[in-house]
Amino acid sequence: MRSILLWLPAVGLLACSTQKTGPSLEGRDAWARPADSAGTTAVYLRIVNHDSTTALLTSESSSVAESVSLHETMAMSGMIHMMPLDSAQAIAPGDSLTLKQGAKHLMVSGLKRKLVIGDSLPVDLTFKDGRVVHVTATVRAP
Amino acid sequence: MRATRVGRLISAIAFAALAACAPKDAPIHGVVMHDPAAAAPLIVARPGGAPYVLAADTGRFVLLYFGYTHCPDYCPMMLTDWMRVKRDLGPLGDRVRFVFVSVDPERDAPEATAAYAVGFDSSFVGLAPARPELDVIQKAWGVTSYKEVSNSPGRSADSYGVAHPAHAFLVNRAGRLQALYPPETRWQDVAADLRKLF
Repeated sequence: MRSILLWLPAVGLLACSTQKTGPSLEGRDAWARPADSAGTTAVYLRIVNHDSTTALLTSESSSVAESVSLHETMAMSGMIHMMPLDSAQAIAPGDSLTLKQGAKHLMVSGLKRKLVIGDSLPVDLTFKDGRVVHVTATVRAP
Repeated sequence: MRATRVGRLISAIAFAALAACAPKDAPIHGVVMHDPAAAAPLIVARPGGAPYVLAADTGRFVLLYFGYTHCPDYCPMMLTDWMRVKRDLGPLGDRVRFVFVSVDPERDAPEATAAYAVGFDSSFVGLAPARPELDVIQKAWGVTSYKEVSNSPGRSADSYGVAHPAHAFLVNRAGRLQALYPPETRWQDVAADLRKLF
């Protein structure tokens, strides 16, 4: 009887942990254009924050590229500019950050291999609280 | 109510008058030149072959865009749109030359730029003028481009962006600058214009 009582809190904790379903942060519909080895591409996706606190996206990386960084394409005064976004991107609880063509996107530079249609491109999104979201972008035509 | 009807009538007459003034062979989207002047010269050396000469394409329509191959977002969007235009035009698409001119001579080698353009469609022309050549071209076409380097910590100076013209140029079959297509132009509208002009 005494041993059963000792196990009760553990069982309770397990019950609580299984109430949550799905990840608190999620990358959806990630895709990238084909590109040559050593070339550059962009990853587009929607990052959804299911959590009850604001998530701060601070850095990005990929095992198949020298660098990944958040940029924003802007058309100003008849020119196209691509501005690096250095500050952390805040995603409010229940909100999402959409990275799409002609707007905010992940610039992937120095590809270590050629990307052809059907390939996968892994990307890690790191948040200020230490969480890392692993995303796999499908290489496809736009 | 009567005032509204009169207003509508005036608007309709003004619209009809404007439509009557527009040249019949003008494209209907973008910034249209109603009295097109001769396009500026464009001559770019190509490795292992004859230089590209815009004037030699007289008799074809030419779509021209200034960009760079390390541009991850906007330039591939433009070339993808061109790919759709060409496919949409079918056999007529073979009578349009699609020319991508790099404004990043430090990173874009001629061979790599040609391969980049061909990656979208085997008929696309990718050119990478050397700096002196590019300066002459940009002056003649009234466009500019410049490096944008971030000084933020962790940003490499090699990973610069290049600000480049937003619009694409349409040169008509007589070698005259017919229209400028700003970034918001849909590829369907470019295809419709070309169909109308053929």
